Amino acid sequence: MSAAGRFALGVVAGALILPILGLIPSGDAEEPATTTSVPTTEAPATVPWFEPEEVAIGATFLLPRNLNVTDGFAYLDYELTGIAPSVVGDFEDRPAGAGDFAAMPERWELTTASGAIVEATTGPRASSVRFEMPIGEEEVESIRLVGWRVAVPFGEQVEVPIESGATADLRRGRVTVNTVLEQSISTIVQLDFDRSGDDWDITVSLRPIDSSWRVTGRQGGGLQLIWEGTNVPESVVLEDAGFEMRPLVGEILVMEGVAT
Amino acid sequence: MSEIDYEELIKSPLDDEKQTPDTAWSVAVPGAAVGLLLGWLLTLGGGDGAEPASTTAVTTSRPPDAAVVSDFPPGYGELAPDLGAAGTEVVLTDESTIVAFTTAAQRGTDPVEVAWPIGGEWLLESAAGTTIESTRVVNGRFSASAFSVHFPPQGEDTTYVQARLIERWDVEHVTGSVELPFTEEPFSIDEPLSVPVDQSLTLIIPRLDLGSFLGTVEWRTVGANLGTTVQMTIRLFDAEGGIVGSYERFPEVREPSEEGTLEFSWSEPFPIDQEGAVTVSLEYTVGVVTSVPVSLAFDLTEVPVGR
Repeated sequence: MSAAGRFALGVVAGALILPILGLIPSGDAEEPATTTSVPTTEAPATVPWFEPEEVAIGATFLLPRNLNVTDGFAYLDYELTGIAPSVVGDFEDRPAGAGDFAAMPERWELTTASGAIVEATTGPRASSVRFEMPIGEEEVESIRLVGWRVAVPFGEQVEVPIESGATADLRRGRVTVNTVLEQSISTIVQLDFDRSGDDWDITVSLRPIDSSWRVTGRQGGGLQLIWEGTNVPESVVLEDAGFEMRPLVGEILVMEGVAT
Repeated sequence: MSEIDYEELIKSPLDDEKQTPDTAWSVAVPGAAVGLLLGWLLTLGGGDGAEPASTTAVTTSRPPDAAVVSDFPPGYGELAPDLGAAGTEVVLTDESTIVAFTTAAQRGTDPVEVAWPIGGEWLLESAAGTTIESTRVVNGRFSASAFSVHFPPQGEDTTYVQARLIERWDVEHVTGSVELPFTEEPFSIDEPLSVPVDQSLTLIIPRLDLGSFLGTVEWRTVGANLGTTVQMTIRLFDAEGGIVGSYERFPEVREPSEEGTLEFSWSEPFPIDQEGAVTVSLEYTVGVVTSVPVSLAFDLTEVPVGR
């Protein structure tokens, strides 16, 4: 949208905010009998953070891009962006002024012109949601987001004995000592990591807390460690760091009054 | 290797990037202000036409407030300069009561340029009036968009009303570089590197191993009260000063520590001797953590509770 367009939207939004916040005086208000000095106490208008077409999930923007109804299905394409600080500044597709986001849509409801409600779900990497329309219906009245996921960072620590077959449970998986290979002056330990969470959970790294354990290989979420010296400890403490994408419920209007 | 050549970078690489505030929104703000003014003016001659019963006047001590430009999205409060946060969920586990937050850059700032605190001390206040102290702040490892504050576990029936940050750990970054002569693959150092970061802080690299697939740097810092964060970029240069290649490492949000290990990956053909590379450059960014006393409250009364 052009700067002029944004300015115009601001004008419209500002004018619309007034009646919403009750700043327009009512004509049937009782008139005061005497002249008084009354400090104004009305709540000041607030300039909206988002543009009207942008849907806010906290500090995450959902940007509806295209709604298409064809062959009995309604498809809504969307993009996600956010205004959280970012570690990486050179993502090619990042819109100007955008940062990271921590929320993702998951559960949707489409209401048809006849009032029928169609549910749909999307996964963590989706950029489109598909609704199966009732037979004979092609008109979309509204689309709502009724469930989304929000990132909760975790950094669990677990202690695993250094012996083949030893296991330890994490909140989102299990670590198993696959191999312990004792050499003359070092010991190699291979650990498997089996995730038990769903596609939403993101494990970034499994690593030893004690830096004396050197990571010499990673594969499939597992890792290979080496301990140099003969004084091998009886166990290794690992940290499992990542995001748990927690489901939250609510209702956020995404589109309304959409004629297709 | 008793003498180490190191060179302070006199500026951050980011300094060369044009500082561009988020002008997209700044255009809408005066527009909204004009809209408010127009709307207000229109109401002066409006109404339903009914005349007042008597001639009266109401004087106000000040005009109506101008539109307030919210610095953060609804529900977000200031966490640090240019940065807001909002509680998203209270997660109850057997080990901890976790208050999860998401963050938002302040309106008009570039999210990519906004600094974020690396942790702090929090208090969790219940409706019954109890207060417990935080045990840990867990940052998003590769994104500062979320963090979680851990407290000792409480009963499931406890209702939490507020989390309050009383001590914030800000980070001041110091950058510099160290250059070493490349010899052969695998490359390692014989003695620890000792790099003065500033007058009171020293970065020590006891181990540096660079191979054709993986690179490992062990580090520790001496002289920091609250620990440090350390990020590093490793590049190899040929005799003409051309870049042979760089080790890749996904940027992470590091927690403050006095020591750590960085892992890198190499994807280019790796030089086996000085025919391929003559210099190893370690570009470091040391985050010095400082404690800032604050009193910032975050409402939890509307925040859902889950397990």
